Amino acid sequence: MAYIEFKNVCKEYKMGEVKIKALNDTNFQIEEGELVVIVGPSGAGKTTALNILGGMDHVTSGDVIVAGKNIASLKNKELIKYRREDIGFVFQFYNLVQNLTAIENVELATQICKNSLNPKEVMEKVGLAERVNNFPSQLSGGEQQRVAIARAIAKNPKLLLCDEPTGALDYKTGKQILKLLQDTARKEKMTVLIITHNAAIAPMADKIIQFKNGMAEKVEINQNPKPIEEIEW
Amino acid sequence: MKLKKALFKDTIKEITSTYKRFISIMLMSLLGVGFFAGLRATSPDMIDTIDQYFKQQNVYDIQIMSTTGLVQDDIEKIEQIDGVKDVYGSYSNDGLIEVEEKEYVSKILCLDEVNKPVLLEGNMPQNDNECVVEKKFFEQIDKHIGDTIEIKTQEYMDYLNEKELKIVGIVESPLYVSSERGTTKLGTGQIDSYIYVTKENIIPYIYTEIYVTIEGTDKYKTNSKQYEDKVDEVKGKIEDLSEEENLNWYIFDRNQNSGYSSFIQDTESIEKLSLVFPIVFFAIAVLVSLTSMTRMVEEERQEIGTLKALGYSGYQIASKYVIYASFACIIGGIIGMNIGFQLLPRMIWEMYTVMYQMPEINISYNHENAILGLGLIYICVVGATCYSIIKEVKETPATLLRPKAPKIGKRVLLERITPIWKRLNFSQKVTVRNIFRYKKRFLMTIIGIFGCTSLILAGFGLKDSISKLLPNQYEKVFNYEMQISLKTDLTEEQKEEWISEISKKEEVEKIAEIYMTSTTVEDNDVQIIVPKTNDELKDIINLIDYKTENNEIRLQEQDGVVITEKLAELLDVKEGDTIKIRDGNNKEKELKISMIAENYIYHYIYMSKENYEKIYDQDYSTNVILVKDKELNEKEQDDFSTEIISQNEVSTVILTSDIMGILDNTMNSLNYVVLILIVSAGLLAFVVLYNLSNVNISERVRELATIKVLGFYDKEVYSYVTRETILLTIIGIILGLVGGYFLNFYIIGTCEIDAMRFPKVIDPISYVYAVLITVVFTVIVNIATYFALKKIDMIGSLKSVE
Repeated sequence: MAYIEFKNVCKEYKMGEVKIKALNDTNFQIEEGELVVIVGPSGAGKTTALNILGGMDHVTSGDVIVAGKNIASLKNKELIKYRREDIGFVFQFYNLVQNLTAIENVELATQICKNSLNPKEVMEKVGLAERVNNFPSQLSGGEQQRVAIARAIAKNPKLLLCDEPTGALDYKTGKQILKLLQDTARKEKMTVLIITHNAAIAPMADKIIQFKNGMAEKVEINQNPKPIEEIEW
Repeated sequence: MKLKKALFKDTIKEITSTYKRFISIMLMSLLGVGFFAGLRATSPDMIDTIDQYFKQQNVYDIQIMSTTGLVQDDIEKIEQIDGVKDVYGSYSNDGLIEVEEKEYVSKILCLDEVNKPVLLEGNMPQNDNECVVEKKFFEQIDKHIGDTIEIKTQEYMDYLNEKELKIVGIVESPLYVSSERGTTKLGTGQIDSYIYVTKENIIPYIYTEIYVTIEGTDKYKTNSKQYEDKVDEVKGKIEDLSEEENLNWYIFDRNQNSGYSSFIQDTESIEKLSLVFPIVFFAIAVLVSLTSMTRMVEEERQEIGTLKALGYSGYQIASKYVIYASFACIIGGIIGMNIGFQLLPRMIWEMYTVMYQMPEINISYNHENAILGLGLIYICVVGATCYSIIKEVKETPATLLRPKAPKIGKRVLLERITPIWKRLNFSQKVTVRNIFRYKKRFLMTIIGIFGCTSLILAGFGLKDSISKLLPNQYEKVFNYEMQISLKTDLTEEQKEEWISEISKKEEVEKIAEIYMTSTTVEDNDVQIIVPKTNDELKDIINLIDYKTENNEIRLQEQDGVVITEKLAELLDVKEGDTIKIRDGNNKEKELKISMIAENYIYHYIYMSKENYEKIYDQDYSTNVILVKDKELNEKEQDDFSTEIISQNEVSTVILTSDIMGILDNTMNSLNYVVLILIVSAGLLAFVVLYNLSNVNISERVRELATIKVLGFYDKEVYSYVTRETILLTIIGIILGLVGGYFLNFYIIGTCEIDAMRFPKVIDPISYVYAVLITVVFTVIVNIATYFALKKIDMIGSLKSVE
């Protein structure tokens, strides 16, 4: 059995009288330690799938298996525990707590986890050893996203979920962030999912899932993932 | 025009969608205006009540008395004076009423067209052999309407034609609005009650007093400047007349009537209070509107930008928020003033009616205070609103359409003090940082909680003081259970025999023989106590030095008297000073104060027998026996007093427990005040905290969504946000306890009645109550916060651009 499995997952939203089907019978599988890129146009259901996988949203029907556990059937509190112990999230807009320094933002995550990593070491890993005591407002966008990644991986999660992590960054900085994510997946043997609307970066992944109209239309295994440095777009 | 209509509609929609915010501004305006208008209306309403009462009963403006008596000729002279409306010759005398061989002193007044009493029950006297009495009469004397009493007037045995009078009704006299009935040379010196007889029943042709009403005073309210001026003008002319003709007149106006003047004093202390209390509420109203309107403007930044881009002027955009705030404060203010006008004067009146016998209070809708209160709250709320909006509408549309940068993080001073900072754990550090991040909001939390705790503590403290009043007077200072007045016509031998018998009774622990009489010192009624020997009072009355608490005060043989604390304060005298008292013959005597003693109810002067004889030039004679019993229970005490009272030598017996019982009932009405303080304080705390919590959550929703995504449990999210609120609440409570301590003393100081000294104590349990009640209100708000936090939508909150 695969490490992660989406089985006939449906998700409906009610917008007043109208029902919107965000996910319509979605199926895909991901193996442990894989770096996965999810591509597709906006509104295709990528983010919904990631939110469900991250324990931030409930399914309408279907099963979501993560490491042998069906998270679709978890109660609210169990879902929080799942987020707390198994998931690291990286957003497009960093979402750092403005009133905390970089290292404190990381500590915010590590203080609630059992198997967390040392915040200082993680900050070194993401290349921000010098900036630990800066507030978010004193950091550039790329640096802030590094802090966000550090905060996510410091929890030592099973899954690292990234929703458009380079969406707000320029080309060069975006590339550095993707490299950091790729390195993390390789070195730490972490399962990483990256959502992007930029299909050009797909070659960096072990697996590419294409979303369209609320379905995982195509799942492609990339036998020879390229290091991000070799990809141009 | 169309543009404005759209804006107006938008405002209405805004109110329905942000009703919580609207209601909190409304509630603060309600409390502010309610307290302001209600408290400020109370004093005028009370004056209005006594004014109406006095006008209806045709109460005098000027009273003239003379030691030599007044005659028809005097009336005619006064009638000639310019400005005088009517002149009435009147009679009053003190009389003894004997009921079952007990003596009571009554003021016998005559019915006239001036100072008309109000009939409460029964009929007015039609015949000479009828009389009406006051309600208090029945409390002491076991008689009913229809019964007959016999009156003995000592000095003028021929004062009344008919001395056997049938009681036909109960009246209330405007001359005696307070419980004070004045002093007399009869009995213990204290007048027990008044009765009215017909004018025809009175024999003498010499008047005891002349009452004058003045032309034009009915146009003005009593105690107003115009009224006083009118009275002074005529009073001056009467004084001139008295001097010219060498008449021995005492000329008084209403201010010398002790009931009236203490009533006026009380209205003045309420007025003082009305200047302080509303300030707290207005200040909080400003803070609440400031935070909530600032947040509202921030939330609608984009909309403001869009409207600006569409061509709306800054003025038009701001008008939406001004209309919103205006609605909230005008609606709240109008509801508040209506509640305030009705509720506060009535409640305060309820408290005061225990001391005054008067008709129901006239509640008026005081336009001046209504407009002033509403105007002030409008300035506070709308001013705060304008302050919040003005910066935003000045921005360009482009700036407005861009989101506002979040409040940046900053190091706080404490971080530089490394030894302390290092010791804090992660969440403590975050808390400290946040406290300094939202200074305005946190200052408000402290002020809100401070106001709440201090009002509650002041309320409970007031109750404590009042409940200590009786035990302090009748257990700590007075240590006797029974006060027995002896008949005046006993010979010294009869008296001595009776006293030696009573002191041998098995129920009796100890007795003190004293002489007791009344006098006035600068309009204050004072009881004089002269013990037979200087050690007589030991264990019966504790004379405790008010400053050193030393209870070994001794009466000095020669000069120097002991006076009670409140009297010393009213007269502004200290040990070593002299005071002037009036003796039974209205002559002034000087007394040197040797000591000031602790005392809580009424005023007393203690002096030695030698001193008394010297000052009064009279032989000493005991008239009252104070009895300390051997801890009898209620039943035994009753039996004992029944036994005593049945003895021929005894005039009256007053049980301390009876006095305490009567006063205790009246004190209970003060619970209203405590209740009103607690309810308003609670509302205050609730509105402030609820408002702050809402603003806090809406401003930090992104941060909170983030920590939820990180996997914080609901409880952890809750404590992440409320940890600082709790810390600030604790600070607020501590400050509030200190503030309440002083507020309590301020209230007591302002409200204290002349004849009483409220003990300045707050029970430890009151501090506990103040803290607990504040905590309960905080907890209620925190529960609401908990659910609001639970409802935060992570995905929605994190989606938008920052």
